[in-house]
Amino acid sequence: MSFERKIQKALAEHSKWQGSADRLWAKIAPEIEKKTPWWRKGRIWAGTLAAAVLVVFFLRPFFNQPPPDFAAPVPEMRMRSLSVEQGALITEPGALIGISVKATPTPLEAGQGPPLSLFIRRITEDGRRLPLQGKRLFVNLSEKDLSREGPALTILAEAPLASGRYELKIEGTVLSEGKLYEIRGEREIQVLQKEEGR
Amino acid sequence: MGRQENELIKAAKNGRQDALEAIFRLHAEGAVRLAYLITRDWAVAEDAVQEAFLRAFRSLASFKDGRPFKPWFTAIVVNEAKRVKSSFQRELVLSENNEENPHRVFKPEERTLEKEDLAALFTAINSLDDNQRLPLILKYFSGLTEKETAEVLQIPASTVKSRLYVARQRLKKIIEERKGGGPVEF
Repeated sequence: MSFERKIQKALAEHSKWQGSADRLWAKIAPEIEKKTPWWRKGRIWAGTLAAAVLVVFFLRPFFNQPPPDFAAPVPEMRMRSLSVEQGALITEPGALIGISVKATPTPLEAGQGPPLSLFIRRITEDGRRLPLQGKRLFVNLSEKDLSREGPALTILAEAPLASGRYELKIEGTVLSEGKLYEIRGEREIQVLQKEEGR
Repeated sequence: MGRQENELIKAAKNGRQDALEAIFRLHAEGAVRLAYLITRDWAVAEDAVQEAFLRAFRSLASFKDGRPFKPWFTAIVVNEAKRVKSSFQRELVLSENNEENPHRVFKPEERTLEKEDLAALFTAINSLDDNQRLPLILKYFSGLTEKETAEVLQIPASTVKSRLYVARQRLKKIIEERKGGGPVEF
């Protein structure tokens, strides 16, 4: 082993984090929501103001017209109340979702374990999980140090295109540097179309 | 990963929380480990990374599309780790018997000669001053190029190169001395 490789191993071996990314994210997420940067707030207000100016501009010719004989039927406003259970990530169709997975060494030999796959199940209102699809994942984890215990890796998966609540589950085995590892991780998401309230 | 990461960053710039979370999950572990190598304290490292992510997300609008995220974010992590470490003013004793990772559970079969060599090497790395230690960590742990390391530390690339050389020479000397002046195995 070269000296440089030994330095790499020494640093990697002695910096194994057994903390939780979920716990850390739980501290960060509320701070992001709480402190919206002024420029973004400004952009929202500027956008709202610009929209209001445009509406006034287009409606101006109608201000002085006499009232119509009868009121035109007003289209029913589409209103929905969204109830999302705690823990599900709200996202848009086709968005990339980071799924934390754990890798554990398995005594199986190469070729014996099931291939790494993403399983998507739709969660119905009564909580049933309906299998939608399972597809083989081709991810290169060879650069990761799969031999460590505890810390989770992140694999990206695409959210389904249709609205609804889903369970994304990653399961299977991966060969890395001659060893077979079992990979497991899952995530619940709520897919909302853009106009549905984000 | 580059294209996917660019898409995530664009979505995050548009205020998408799920994209921010995906970016966080891609970089969190590496960031905490890097901060730990700088601060030598897990609690301080996590605090630093928390601040680093908040700073990065708040200044994401100024991040140029298409550029690699990692060196930019690494610079923020390094600065936060140094700042938080000094503000906590914790006494980080890097003794001869360098502290083990408190989270790590050693198994008897792991107590091999190689492990002992690596532990000795890690202790030696920690005995270097920051001028040599930081380039070493960024190159050999974070996998940054010498040019990227230079940008993160805001020093010329030639200085990074020479500091890395000096660091490696010092490490070899320290290891040699610890082994009683015998030949270095590396």
